[in-house]
Amino acid sequence: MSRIFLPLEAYRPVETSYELLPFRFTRFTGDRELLVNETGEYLFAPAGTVAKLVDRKVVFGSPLYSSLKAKQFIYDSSSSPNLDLLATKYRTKYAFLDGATKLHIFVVTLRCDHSCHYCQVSRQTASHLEYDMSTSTADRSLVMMMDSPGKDLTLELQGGEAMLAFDMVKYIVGNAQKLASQRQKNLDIVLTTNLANVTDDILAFLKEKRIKISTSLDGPAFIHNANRPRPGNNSHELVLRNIERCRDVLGFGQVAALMTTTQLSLKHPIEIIDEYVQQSFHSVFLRPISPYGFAIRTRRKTGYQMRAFLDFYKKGLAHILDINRRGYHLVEVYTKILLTKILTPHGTGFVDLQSPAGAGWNVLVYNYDGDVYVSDESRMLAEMNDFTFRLGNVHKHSRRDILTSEAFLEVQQASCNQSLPGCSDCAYQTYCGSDPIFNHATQGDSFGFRPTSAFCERNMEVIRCLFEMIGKNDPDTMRIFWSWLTDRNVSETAKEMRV
Amino acid sequence: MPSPQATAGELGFTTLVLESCQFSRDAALRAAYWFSRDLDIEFPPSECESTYTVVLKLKTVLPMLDDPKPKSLAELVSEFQNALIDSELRVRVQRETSSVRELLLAKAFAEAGVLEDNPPGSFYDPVQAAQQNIQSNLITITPKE
Repeated sequence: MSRIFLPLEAYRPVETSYELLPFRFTRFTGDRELLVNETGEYLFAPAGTVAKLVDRKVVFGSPLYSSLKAKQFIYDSSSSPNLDLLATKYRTKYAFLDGATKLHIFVVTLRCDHSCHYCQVSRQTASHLEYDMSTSTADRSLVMMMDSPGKDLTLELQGGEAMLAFDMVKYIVGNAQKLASQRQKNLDIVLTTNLANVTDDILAFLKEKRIKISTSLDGPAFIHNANRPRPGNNSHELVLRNIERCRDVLGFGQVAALMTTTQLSLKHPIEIIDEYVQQSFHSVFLRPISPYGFAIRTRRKTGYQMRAFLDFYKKGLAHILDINRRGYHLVEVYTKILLTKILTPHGTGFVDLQSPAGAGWNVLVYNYDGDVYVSDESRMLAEMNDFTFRLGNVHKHSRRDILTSEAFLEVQQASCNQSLPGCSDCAYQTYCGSDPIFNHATQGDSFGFRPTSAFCERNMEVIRCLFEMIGKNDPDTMRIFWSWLTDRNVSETAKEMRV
Repeated sequence: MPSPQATAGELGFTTLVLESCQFSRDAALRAAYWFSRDLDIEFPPSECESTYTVVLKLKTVLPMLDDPKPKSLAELVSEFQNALIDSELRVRVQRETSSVRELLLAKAFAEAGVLEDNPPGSFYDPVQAAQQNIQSNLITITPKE
């Protein structure tokens, strides 16, 4: 059998000029520049590289030239722009757009037995039954949910405290599963709850229907109880006890917890993280407070500058890495989301950090009264009499009406960071997102103003901080990052990296 | 790329005279956007096409709770000059790559069927196509028996 090859001279590098492919860049510490191409591949290069690149002064055949070519920042006559490959990478990064609305949040009731200072919800006391969702609203909401084109849907039931209206939870779950089976959809169900009212009957139902639990754990008792007051001041004790009950009945991995950072939390990153380890959680999400609902009214108690939160995050992340070094697998969720975008070809389904924004396109919120919103945060604005992001009502409008409403279109227009001032040039654009609702709430304008935006300040600094670590390429840290991305223990990743 | 020339004013402002061939107005506007938190920035009408001026005025010098050590005008001007150079480079990269980018996005989302018009230029990758047409240069190597 014979094989055919080009003549030998065809394989010798021929000095030639090069063409640029789209990329963005930023100056970086250590006299470096960080270049990021359209699909999120990055390259650290010496300061002045971009100027040389534009002036065609990068030396042909140099290691820098080869790296730029390999990572598709440039192409020359011996290569090709290989647009099909770039387009595939691009499509992979934006796969979250496929299937449209996947997360459907049902606000079953506004009633709640806690009175948290930062609550995003305009809660009502436990006796106000008029703030529960009716069966007709639930039916209409379910029809609208099932009209979503995606095959994989998530139904999140929340409140107030959803368990206070558990008959309605049962009604929605039963009908949702019936409809999903008729329409051949895969349905995941999550119940967001403070777990204070869980009973054996409720647990049996959750087990039967394979419902996951998402609860709140703000840290040790002195933080949790201060943030989440309830009669008896025993929220922490109840949540810990009931997390264990849920794990026993539903399975260990069926229970997740989230924390919210208040002014009090800011001083205690270590204690909060240690509490998560003590309760055997393997992930913690260091989340800043949202500027909605009661968080606006109680700003003095709960509010803080983003700079203070970033200090908290950095101290927390350092502690989490240390815990991982000592052999306990603990993921910081926001960091993992960003690392997925930076170090892998994939995007994420995290709706709060997408462009176009996840609000509306990937998530819809059905309020107890049938009003539909682009996100839980926009519902909070409505509780403050700002109905900017109300898309319609399930009793009056179809899914088509909702997705062509002025409010929906405004969110989409204001949420493509590819074309927003400040974002369109930003090196971190591919990894970041946009949040028109946050912009509207904090700056009075959906498009927002980047130089004073807390969203921008947080994400630019967190991404910069992660690149700082990636740039150092410390083997221990990188092993931990990859263990997070592959959902394995550090020791397993370490073995693999040695091989 | 040389830095733009700055002239310090008497009343807490600085005027930059920029050559249009070195720094486009687009680049200056993009740089100005990021400094508009700390500076009032003016682009007075220009008398000639080859140069234009940018006036930078400090908004406040008073320490605030969220900014206890505000930057001086000199510091901000120096940062603005660097930002201007970066902005100009970004404008040039974008100018040079915008058609490739459009083509890339068109290819990436073509299967969604959302394109109303064909994007400008050829939809094919010319270098790949050319490389597939060089069969005439191929030689044959037959292994020894």
